[in-house]
Amino acid sequence: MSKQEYVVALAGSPNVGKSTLFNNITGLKQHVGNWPGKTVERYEGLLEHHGIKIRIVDLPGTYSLGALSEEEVIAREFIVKEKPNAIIVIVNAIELSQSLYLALQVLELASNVVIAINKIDAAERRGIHINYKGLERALGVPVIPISALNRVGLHNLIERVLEVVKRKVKTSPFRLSYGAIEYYVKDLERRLVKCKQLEMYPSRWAAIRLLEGDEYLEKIASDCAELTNYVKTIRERTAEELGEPPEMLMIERRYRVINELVNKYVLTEKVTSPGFSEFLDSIMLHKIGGIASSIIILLSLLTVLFSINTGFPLNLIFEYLGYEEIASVIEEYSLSGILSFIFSYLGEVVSNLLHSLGAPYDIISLIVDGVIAGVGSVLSFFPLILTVYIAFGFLEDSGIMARIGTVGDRIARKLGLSGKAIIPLILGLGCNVPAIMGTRILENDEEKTLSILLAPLVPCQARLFVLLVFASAFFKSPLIQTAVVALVYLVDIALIVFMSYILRLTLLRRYEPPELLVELPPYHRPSLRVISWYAWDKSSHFIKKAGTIIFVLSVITWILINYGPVGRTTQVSESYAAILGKALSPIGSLMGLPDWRLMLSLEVGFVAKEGMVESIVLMTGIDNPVKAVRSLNLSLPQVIAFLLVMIIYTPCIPTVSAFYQESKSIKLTIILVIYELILALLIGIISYNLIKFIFNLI
Amino acid sequence: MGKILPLSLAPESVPLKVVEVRVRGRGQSRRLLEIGIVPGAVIKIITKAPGPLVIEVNGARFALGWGHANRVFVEVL
Repeated sequence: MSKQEYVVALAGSPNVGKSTLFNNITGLKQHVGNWPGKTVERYEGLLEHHGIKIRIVDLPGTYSLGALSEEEVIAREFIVKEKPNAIIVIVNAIELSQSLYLALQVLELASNVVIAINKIDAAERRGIHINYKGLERALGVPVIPISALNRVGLHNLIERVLEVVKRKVKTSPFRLSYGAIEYYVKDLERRLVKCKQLEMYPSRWAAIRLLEGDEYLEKIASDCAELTNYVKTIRERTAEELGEPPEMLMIERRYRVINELVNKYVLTEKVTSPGFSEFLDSIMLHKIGGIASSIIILLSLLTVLFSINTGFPLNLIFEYLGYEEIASVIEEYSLSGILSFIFSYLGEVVSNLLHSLGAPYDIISLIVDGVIAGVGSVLSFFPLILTVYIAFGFLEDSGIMARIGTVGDRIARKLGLSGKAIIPLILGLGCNVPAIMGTRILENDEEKTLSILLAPLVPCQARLFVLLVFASAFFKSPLIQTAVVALVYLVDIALIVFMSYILRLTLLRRYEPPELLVELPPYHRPSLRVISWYAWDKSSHFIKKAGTIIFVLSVITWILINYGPVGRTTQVSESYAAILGKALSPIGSLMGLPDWRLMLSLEVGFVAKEGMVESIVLMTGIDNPVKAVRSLNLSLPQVIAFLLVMIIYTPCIPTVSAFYQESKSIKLTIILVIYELILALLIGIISYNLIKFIFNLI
Repeated sequence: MGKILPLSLAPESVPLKVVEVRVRGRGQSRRLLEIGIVPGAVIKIITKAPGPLVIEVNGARFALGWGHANRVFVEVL
């Protein structure tokens, strides 16, 4: 038995079930990283089949292998440069013509290919019958029917892949002839040989790509001026002779061949009743029904999400109905309730243990209030991020996301974005970190920059918590409380629109919102296993990356609060943090907030916004958060100004860190932090004085 | 033979034959071709409201912005 490890790449278009297949064949032996120098994730998993080790590399999902997107370049460069032992191309039985397009392109690039036709069970139900053997003969590579979701045919797939890996079967991939253009393909192929930069690429493939106007390959071949000039000439000549640019003719040709294949090997029975997807689409894409159902879906999702994490708003609903006990149970057993219980229990145990060992007070406090609380604050982000990722996965996997993006396109356009950008922004209401990471689905770089700069302005759950505590501290009537929350949200939404406008006038002057082009895959029951795995993986990946900095800053905050010029102090008012807060209070005074404790809580809020309330508890020495906040004795203009500042100013450390990870740009990160600080200050000054002015009039 | 008109003006729910796709430069409009909107293909508009156009091509559904829809010329079959 060989100890050798084989590498097999997975290629496929979006929505063909590639992630499901990857997950079901590799199980939990997976590794996630980024493609070198890219923000695109690279998933790898290990599979052992009868003692043979196979490393599965999941290539980014693409419709084509052109050079239109980063993902496409990554996929093809991997095939060319790393030469996997085999490539599995996954196609979708339900939309065979669509997904065969990518398969044909892979067959032009490599010969050790196996085609897996996925979702065969769903296709059978729809009356689609595929002649796999016939397709196999026509394409010259193994064609295997599978259902990744129900684990049908996976064993067979791996066996056939191993046959290709070990060269037990000889593949002779289908060669697509380009008709009228074929002459130029052959001509270019001969001339290519002289260009050293292109020698690693299969010559026929490179010739085809150059004829199609592949900017990436042209750049690589830029030293071969003779060749690139020649390409330019014949591209113009074919366009003139044949009336259309060569890429058009070539793509047309591919689809014609695909249609011939499909006509020959696929039999579709007429299924009488209109499908489930069609029925749901008639609602989800309806002029009014679509927007209404999108809003209902997102609102209920957010309600569930918030309730799981913090108990809100479910606890309020029960409280309102008079079930206060249930309300407090919900709060206690929410994820953040459980986490804070675990950490305070742990802190107590450790503190007692250290006491009995005779450790000095300072050390105990450092370990319990600094280190354990620091770890706690790292972990307190985890459920927020995780649940938002699960929601994201659910929307994406079920097919709902594409529909919401479609009906939301018109609204998104007002923000200078396309409908695709709307979901990450809305999920930002849960947590900004996945919102920022979620902008990854946007293909247009400038659209990504715009939405990533706007995402941190979306008021997340942690900020909502602070908002609620303040609202209930200063206003008795639930009606006014709700009005205050609504007012702050409305101002925030207005600011997002305003900032989008400003950014498009300054940073992104040449930007035009991209045209929407998005696939609406058939709806299907999302696989909880796959969703939760990806959500878990992405969240833990993030926590690992950002955890250190969150932890270090939590400990630094602890030191700032517990130490002052006189050394260790139990009086917050003598701490370094208080000095800093007092130094900032002239700025606070501009917004009518001269109390240094408010400035200090904003400092703490930089680590985690929910920590703001806790810091006020600490400073006032009042245990009940609502009463502690009430003791600050703020007037209405002060409350509103402070809440607006809290919502707008520099996002928390995890958000900044996610922003940097995603944008890979220090410049943009600095712009983000500074613009939010300035905006918060301006809004603070304006809102305080405006409300005060209005009150004086009354 | 029906008359030729841009996809944005074509009627809903009837088969339409693609006659011409005006690809602008090397930009995103080339995606139209890659998803199968090529001359000769038969497509169908599922709905025009709200906002983008929803079309069916080769059994798959796509939402298209109006800019894209103005670049595709079809003939009602």
